[in-house]
Amino acid sequence: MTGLRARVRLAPLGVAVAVVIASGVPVHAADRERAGRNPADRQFDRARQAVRDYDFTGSVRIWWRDARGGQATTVAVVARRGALHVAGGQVLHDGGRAWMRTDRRWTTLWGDPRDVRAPSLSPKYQVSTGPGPEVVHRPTRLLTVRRGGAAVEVVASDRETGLVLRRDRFDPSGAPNLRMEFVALTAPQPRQGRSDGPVVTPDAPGTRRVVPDDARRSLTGGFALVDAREMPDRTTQLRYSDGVFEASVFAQAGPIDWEALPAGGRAVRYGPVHARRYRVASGTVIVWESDDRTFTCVTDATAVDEAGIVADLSRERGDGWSSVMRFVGGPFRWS
Amino acid sequence: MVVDMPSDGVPTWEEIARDRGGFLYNVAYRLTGNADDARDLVQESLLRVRRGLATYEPGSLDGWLTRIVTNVFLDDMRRKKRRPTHALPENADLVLPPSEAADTVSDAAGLSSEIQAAINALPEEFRVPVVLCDVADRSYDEIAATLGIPIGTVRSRLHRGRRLLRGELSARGVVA
Amino acid sequence: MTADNDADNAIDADDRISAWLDGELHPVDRDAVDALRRERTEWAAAIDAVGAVRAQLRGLAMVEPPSGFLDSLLAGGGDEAEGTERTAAIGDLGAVRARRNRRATPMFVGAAAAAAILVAVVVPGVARTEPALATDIRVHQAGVASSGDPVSGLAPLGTPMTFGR
Repeated sequence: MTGLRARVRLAPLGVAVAVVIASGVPVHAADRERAGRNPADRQFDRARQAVRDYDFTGSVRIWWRDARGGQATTVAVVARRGALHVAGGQVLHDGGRAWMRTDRRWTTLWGDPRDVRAPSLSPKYQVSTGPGPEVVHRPTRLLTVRRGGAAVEVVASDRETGLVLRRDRFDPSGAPNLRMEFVALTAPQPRQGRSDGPVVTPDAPGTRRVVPDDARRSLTGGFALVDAREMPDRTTQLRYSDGVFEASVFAQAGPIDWEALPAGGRAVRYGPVHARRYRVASGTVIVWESDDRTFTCVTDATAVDEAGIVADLSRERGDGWSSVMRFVGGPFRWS
Repeated sequence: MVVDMPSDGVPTWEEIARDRGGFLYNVAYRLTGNADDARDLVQESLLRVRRGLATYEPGSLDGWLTRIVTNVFLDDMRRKKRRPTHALPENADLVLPPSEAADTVSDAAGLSSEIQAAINALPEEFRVPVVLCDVADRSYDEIAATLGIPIGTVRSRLHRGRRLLRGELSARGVVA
Repeated sequence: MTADNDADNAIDADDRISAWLDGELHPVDRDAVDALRRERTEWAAAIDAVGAVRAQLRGLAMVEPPSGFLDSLLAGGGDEAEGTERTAAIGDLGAVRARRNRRATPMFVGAAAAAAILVAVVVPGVARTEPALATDIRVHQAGVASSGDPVSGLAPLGTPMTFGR
């Protein structure tokens, strides 16, 4: 994200981004309290703790499906002194923060160590736990999340450490659309020392937390606003979660440059909204425009939910699309 | 990356260059250790691909491309051994890679470059099998056919290469 | 060197370890290594050690070609093999380098001229926004990793950033 580039081509628009802030206003504080008690949160709490507490080297195979068929690649992960290194060390996660190395310096991808949690699981989900299969020769405990009786996500965690060793996601028809699993893993050893994290220069790009008080707090399908950010190029990110899946909606000033989009996407319509949709290892990316604004949604939610998200944010009503427009175009201050 | 080849046809040169050029470049980069040589290797390999398409039989496209890029690389290595050059650059500053600024280096920085440096340090006879197996994801059979050596030799060179890498990476603090 | 060290080195040098990790062992040998791994900690340690190196190599991020490199090859359509330069010996990377160097200056001048024309023609047009999909994905996944599982949250960032349908 070098400079997070000039996303608006040719001439700066001079449009100030976002936001009236709710300084110190809790984001779903009640939900956060509830969140600590659901099995999925407990499992991921242990997973985060495992990365902090153990040194290990592993290889994670990622399989996902797009229109060309199944795609797969393998990624090295190294946990050392409490920090997680991915992609040959080009991405680093430490204590809730994340950085990416670009050119010759570190860019902050996620700079706020506060533990922003998803809301408690939406009532649309049912959760069960039980013994799981061996993954890389290690016994696991299984968390299964179902919707309407069909599994949407299955997580196998290492019994000893809590490390997530395998994660499967399924589409509404029950077909797998994503698997991430360790295919090699050294025996986790207690952490040796403490990482200092990377040296990030003061002028390095990064995101800043903002909480727009007029952005939609909830979307169809039980998605709640859990966080909001502003990037150096004044793109804003609204982050929603239903307790299982997440969706980030990025809003930018200016009509979309359709020709600049990467090849490979598919033209789709969500009601009256024309969009381009991509499948990537992270899930789905949807890009659309309205009223001289450009929106990008990155989500691992199901196709049904993604349609609801786009529709909600595209409605011409006071708490939806037009609200986001004000959010993008209005004055702002930082929390 | 998994590539599903059409069962009823041979890809065009343009399709290969567009869809598998990235794969070729990645393998070339890991073999040569630098961008300039990788570009040259890919360019030369694609010339051979164009010539070879007339006789290509649909099968493992990545396997075929790997054989080509490996052969181009080995040909070049042999040529360099026959005609060693020791010319020094006119201005060393222009060709030396810039070092990291002290204030941007951390213990986490450059794992990838550490690994590549360790690969570069491997003798060619071990480096090639390691790259073909762990970067190009080729089977022992394919590696043996590509290099024209017995499968047992592939196995021993690959293991020796990984052990040498382990020593290098351990010395650099990348693995325990 | 002790007898224990000799034994450890012998295990370390056993190339069945790599073949086992690669799934390339004959079933009989594979079962034997399976048993050794279960029953002898030094074997498990040796396999872990080589497995860690293998994992590092296999997890290396894909090195993307320099921007415009493949496009320039495609624009040439591989014609070098058919045109005036096809007399250069195939396999002679020196010839390729020479071709590249000869082209460097004219290409730069040409690109600069094209950029100047583009600016002159396009600047008065409508300002359009280019969504930074790769950046958006990275920022999203970093957030997911911070509130959920760090490994499965960040691992997708190690995949090539290609955009399928």
